[in-house]
Amino acid sequence: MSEDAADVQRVLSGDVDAYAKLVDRYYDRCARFAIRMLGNRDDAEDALQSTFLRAYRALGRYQERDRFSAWLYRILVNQCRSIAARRSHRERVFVREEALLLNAPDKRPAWSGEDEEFVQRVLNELDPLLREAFLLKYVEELSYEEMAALTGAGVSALKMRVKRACDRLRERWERIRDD
Amino acid sequence: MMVVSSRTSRFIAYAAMLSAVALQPLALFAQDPDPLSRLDPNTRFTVEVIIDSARVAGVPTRPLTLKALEGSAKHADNRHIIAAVRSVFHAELDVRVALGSALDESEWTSAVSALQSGVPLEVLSKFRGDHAGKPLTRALVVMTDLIQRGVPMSEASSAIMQLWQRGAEDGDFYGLWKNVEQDILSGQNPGSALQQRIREYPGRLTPGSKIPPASQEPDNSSS
Amino acid sequence: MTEQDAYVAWMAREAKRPVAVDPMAVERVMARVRLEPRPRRRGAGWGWLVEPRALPLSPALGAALAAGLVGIGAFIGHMQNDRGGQNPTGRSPTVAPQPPLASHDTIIKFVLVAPHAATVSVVGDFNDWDAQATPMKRTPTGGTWSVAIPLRPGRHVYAFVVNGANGGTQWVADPTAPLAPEDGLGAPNSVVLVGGSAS
Repeated sequence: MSEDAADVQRVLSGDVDAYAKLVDRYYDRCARFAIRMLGNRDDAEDALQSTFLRAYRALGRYQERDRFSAWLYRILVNQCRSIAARRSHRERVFVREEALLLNAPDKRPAWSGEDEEFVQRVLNELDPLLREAFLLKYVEELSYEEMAALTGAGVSALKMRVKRACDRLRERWERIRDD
Repeated sequence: MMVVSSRTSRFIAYAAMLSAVALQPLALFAQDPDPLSRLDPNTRFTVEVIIDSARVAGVPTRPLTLKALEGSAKHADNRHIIAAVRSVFHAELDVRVALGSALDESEWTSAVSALQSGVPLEVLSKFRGDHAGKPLTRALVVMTDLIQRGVPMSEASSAIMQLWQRGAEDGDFYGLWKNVEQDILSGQNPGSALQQRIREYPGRLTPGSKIPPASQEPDNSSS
Repeated sequence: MTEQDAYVAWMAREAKRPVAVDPMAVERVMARVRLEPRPRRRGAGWGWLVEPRALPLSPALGAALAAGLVGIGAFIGHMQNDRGGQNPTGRSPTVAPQPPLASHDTIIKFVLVAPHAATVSVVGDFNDWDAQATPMKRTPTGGTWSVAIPLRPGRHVYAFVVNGANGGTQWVADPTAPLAPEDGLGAPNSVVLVGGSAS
């Protein structure tokens, strides 16, 4: 039995603190994906909180034959998608309200580090599905089969998304090099 | 008409006890004659201006009052309360364009929610027309929820529209919602969960047909 | 490798750098997790029936289930909708439709599992969003809170307000109910449909 599966067993037998080990083991890696995907820490923390909470609630359904990390990632990807969807609506409403009544300054996420800010900005320019595919492939280094299990998309669609994400980045390089 | 399920007959003895308990809350909702007094005066002024505009425009005002009260209960700042109320008002104007104004209050509010969850006006307007007897509120509530849970808008709206046009009933929408919700909770991708569940429908849904119940749901023993 | 490919590779490498994580973040997760009912292995027999849990209930067929399994509800007369609520973070609710009291109203029982809460109330458009109007009662046996209220037919929006023993307050949507869209007021709501409306 893997370390993860053993911890899951302990949680199901009533040892809640064993869940802290699982959270601790995966939090940083999940945080990286959530921050890169959502582009700001507040939304990322929301996604992470609800991911670990949902995983806890659904722990009884977790099957040992699955990899815990993959199972957890599936929940994380869903949470990031749904927070991104809510956020896009919020921003849309906000902009509309701004135009009508208010003149509050634009709030941009604060970032430390020039490169991190730059990389995040470039990632944000990608369409969310392309960004998700790019991150899963090149940052999380998953196989296309794993990505398919995670996202519900087919392997060929995912390959296409990764290719298009890379194409966008290449085009971006062309533009800045020519500037 | 009195309906007593055989399953519940064993528990009928509880009913008297429950009625006694349940009578208490009836007194709870004595309406506050001036609920907007909970807002600060400036916010109240702006909210009342919006409510007035709604009255003039002929769209429901109660949802606007409720939105303001909700904001106040949640201690939202004044700017957000006004923005939220205004957003409901604008959405109501859009709903009227999409669906007309022969709607009951639940249809108004569920249509507003659908727009607020990102459903475009042209999609909502497909629900226009003769919907007598069709569960518009339930369809819109389920569609909105699916989008909130991460199902892509276009997939959620086309699935719900399809069911609605085929004459699905309240129970069908509920069954679909429950199944998809359970799938998402167990880690499935929301879009694929809906796609899989919608396939469980018969090719042509006739009135009275049901989608397969959620795994933990028993057979329908009452209706 | 072309310049462009090098750019893509650089981007991937930079994105792969670990992010700084707030050391309290894991604690925050665990604080919420501890409010949850213990997860149970799926298919563990009938043990779960005696505990509050999510009962998938449809408007028409839910009542018998709630009554039969949970044993707190019976229904007579016009069948209506029902709905359960729950803990900030937990699957829980038991839902029990009950006898309608007026010709149009239906009694809806809201149930929430929040063992560590000091007080819980249900708040929504039916009580003008008054957080004091509808307190829930703790069951004698522990962390389940419930209240039964008459609702008119139609769509109602609601949420739970959970006050912790430490004085903190949390607004919680009902994870077993359909969600209303988030609209900038800071906490999501749930939707209950009570049967008998025009739609």
